[in-house]
Amino acid sequence: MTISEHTITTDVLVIGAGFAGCFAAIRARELGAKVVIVEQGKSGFAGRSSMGTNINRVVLPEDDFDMALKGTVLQTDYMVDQEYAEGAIAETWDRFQELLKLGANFRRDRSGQIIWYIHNTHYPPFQQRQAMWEPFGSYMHVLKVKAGAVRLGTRVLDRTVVTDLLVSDGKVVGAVGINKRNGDFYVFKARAVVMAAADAHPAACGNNPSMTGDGIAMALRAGAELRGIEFGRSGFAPFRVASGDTPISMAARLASQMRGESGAPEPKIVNARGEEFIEQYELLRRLPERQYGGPSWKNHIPAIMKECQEGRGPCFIDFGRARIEFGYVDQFSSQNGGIRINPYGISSVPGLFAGGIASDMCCAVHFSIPANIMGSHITGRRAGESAAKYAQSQSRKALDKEEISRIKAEAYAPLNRQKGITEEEIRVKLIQAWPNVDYRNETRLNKAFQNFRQLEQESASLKADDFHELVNCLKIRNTLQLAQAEALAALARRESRLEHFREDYPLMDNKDWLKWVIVHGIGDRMQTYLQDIPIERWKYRPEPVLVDRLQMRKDA
Amino acid sequence: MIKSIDEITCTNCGLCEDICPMDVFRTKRGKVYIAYQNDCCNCMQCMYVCPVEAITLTTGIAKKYDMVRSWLLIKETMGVK
Repeated sequence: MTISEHTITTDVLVIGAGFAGCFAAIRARELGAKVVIVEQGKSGFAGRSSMGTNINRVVLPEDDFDMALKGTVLQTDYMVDQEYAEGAIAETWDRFQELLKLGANFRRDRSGQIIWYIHNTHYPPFQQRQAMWEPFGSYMHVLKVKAGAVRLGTRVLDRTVVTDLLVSDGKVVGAVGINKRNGDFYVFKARAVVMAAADAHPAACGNNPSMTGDGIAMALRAGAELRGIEFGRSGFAPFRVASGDTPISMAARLASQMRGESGAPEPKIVNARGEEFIEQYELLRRLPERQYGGPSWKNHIPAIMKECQEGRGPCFIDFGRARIEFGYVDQFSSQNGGIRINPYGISSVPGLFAGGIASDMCCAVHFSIPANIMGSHITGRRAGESAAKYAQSQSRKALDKEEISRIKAEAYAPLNRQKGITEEEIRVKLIQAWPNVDYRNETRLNKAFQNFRQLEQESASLKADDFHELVNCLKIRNTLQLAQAEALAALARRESRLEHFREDYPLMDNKDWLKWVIVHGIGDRMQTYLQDIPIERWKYRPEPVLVDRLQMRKDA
Repeated sequence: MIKSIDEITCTNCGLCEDICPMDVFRTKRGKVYIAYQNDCCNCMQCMYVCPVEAITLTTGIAKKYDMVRSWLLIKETMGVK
């Protein structure tokens, strides 16, 4: 079989055509750089953005910025980069205006004013405003933002999966990819690369199996550092294994729509006795009960586990007419955290920039004010700007042909294997390898890490019958690497915070653990180190005490 | 998840193949078929873009909501009749 090879030369290569990618492209084009966007599916229709939520959290100019910052800091348990958060809060209004200019539409009242829905935050005095897309869903709006990028002269390449970044002298100088349909091999020569591919969170988007954390894993292989990935969680609900369907996130989203429109009862989390137990836990009751339309189980997982341990399980989300049982996940997922960037979108590897949910800025502040869609705009735009400026300062380097042919041979290898393991089998094993992901301890995490290592070795014998399967094989390899990184980071954090809950260290330690866990390296060289959060430089600091989030309420 | 394409109503126009973000559809000898069913991401875009409503999904909940309107607009943008 002969495989055609194409070479595309550009200043800035953007990987991923979601909100972050398109905004990065728009900004880089505004600064005069030549931009190419590569998208694995159909741009404007694929990925996390178009399957995203309906929520645009905006801080209006008349709102109290300090209060918004405090809300963000509390919501992220002091893990957020406050320098970024402060800037992002001040920027949301500008980005919102830009969206309007690009033709996005929001739900309006009869007089034509945008309706600002109120979202309760972890910090009750601050009420977050959010605008809803009109019509519902992000699809239309990703298309509009993409059209904006194309109008400015961005080239968009669809159905092409980037498989690896090219590194030369410690700098990222391009990428290689495979067309999903005809199997063509693409070499991208770029002065700067913006990573705007999503994280591994298939569950969030109605079980989207394309979300395998490619961007984060590729960056890790290229030498970038990851931050905050121990806060990843697997959706805690009965998702599909390899086939079958129970798109719970969609059900939750639709339930919320239904509620908004027809006044159906709010979904609630109950135990086997039908009691709403969340209220009985001291710290949990202060958290908002629902986010993203469905009840927010992310903060309640330790409580759900405790209920089950004490014999009051299983727990359910009660939708009124139907209830769905909380069970162990069956799809690996790593939300939160990502490629470590500074507030300007610059990663730890020269030439690599990151925005959107692949970056830690957007994810570390997950569910908070400058996160979500608005966070993708902000981080994406900043990454585009930094990349365009960096590209101007770089001369074009010749690519290492031997390295490229090595990568190419490795990438297409599964096609030539007669015997071997299939991607589907690996996917099922991966799910089984992650025991009690949301209720962690040293033993389980060590075991999970060993399982992932072993699976990665097994994945060396992946086989594929066609190009579509080949691409899936390459993508599952990314998930395996990301899974190892997550297990390692979770081992390193010896306390409980946000979604990271350790059975052996159940307390949130604001005395000794105001630290970030950084992961770098791959395979045997994967390592973690701790970095102190420069909290004394920032505005909001916690009391240096230990917090027990599962303490029972005294009056309960 | 995608269930089937109605062979009688399907005109093999290829819009679903074009729009599917997951590359679930393929065309062979002028006929569109579901090639990678397990890769379906429940986005329902094929269902909404199909001009003759030939596509069946295993979940029937989507049509009730105003995603339908969103899809009508997409159809307009893409010039689908």
